[in-house]
Amino acid sequence: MSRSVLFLVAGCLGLAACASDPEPTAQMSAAELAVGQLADTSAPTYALEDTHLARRKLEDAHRAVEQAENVRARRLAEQALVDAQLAQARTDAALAKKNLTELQASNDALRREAASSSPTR
Amino acid sequence: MMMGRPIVHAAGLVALGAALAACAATPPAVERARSSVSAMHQDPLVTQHAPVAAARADEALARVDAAAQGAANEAELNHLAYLVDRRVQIAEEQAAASDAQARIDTLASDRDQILLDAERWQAARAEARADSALAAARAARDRNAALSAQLADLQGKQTERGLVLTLGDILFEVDGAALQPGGQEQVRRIAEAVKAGGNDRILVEGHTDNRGTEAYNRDLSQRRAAAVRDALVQDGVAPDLITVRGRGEDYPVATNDTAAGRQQNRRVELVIGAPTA
Repeated sequence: MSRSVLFLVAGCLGLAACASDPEPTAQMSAAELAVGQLADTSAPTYALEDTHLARRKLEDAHRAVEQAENVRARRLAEQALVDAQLAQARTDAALAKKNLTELQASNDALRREAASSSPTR
Repeated sequence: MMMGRPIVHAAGLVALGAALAACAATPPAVERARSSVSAMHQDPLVTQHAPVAAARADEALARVDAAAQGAANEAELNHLAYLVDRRVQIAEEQAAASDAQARIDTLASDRDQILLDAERWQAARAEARADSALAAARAARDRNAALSAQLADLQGKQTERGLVLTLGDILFEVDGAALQPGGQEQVRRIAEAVKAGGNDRILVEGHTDNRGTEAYNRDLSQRRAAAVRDALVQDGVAPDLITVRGRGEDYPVATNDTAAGRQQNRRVELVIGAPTA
């Protein structure tokens, strides 16, 4: 008797938990957008691992939504978002550093050239 | 101060124990999130270049703290701590990107300066080249002016016989007939003038002073005049326009009693536009 009541209570709590975790629509679309934007960038070149991670988590989030595992779906979507943003940030940093190095080399070459053609004083 | 009161002392121990228990109860994920955010705030690049991203990391940490205060399970705490960790990394990458970009901006203005300097140097070099070209042109003009002056000197004597140009003794080798380079140059100028002026006839007369025998002087004056003729021909004057005479010492233009006078007498005269040979 008391055991079955306990199960009932636990069951209700479980249902309540399910009902109070709606489908993470906002998180899904934010992750979708961020992961989608990576396709147009050099992220696959400069942050391959994080790009893969974000894509895989977004796919897993979709599957979790289909299976009504809304908590898992929300976590996966939230993680896919930050993974995608990190991939973007890493890419931006890598590109900026690459440009910096190239510009430094180019300036050095220009300086040498200018020095060799400058009037002797 | 509490040492003398055992009851209070015991209460203190209990409180300490509770605090330790609370510490031990803090999930490691939460601890890691807190320390990574506080480390992020120590990074001056993040503070300077990525304040917005840093604020997002702070918000993520606030979610962790709120969840830890509530009854969140370990899976949720680990998830939220993961978000914090990624937000901190995003802030650091953005700071690195902005820092690199700031350096790029500096290098770009360096580059402009280098190019500007190079242009200035090139302009200065071009100017120096132009200056030396101008100097060369001026030197050439001065040289021409000097030659013209020399020629004008020679042309100074219009006589009834025609225009008489005189080549002085110093234009010939000592006691010989060969023209010195200066003499050759003057003959060349005269030849140019004659060719340009319509090919007048030219009488070339050699003269000497009265030192030495008359025969020697006549021969020397003849050879000097011939040397001038040869030079004129070499410079393009038609040979049949030229007549050569060795006058010897018979036609002095100055006294033979002084060295200066004798030098004036040793000469070759070119009579241009002479009526007949």
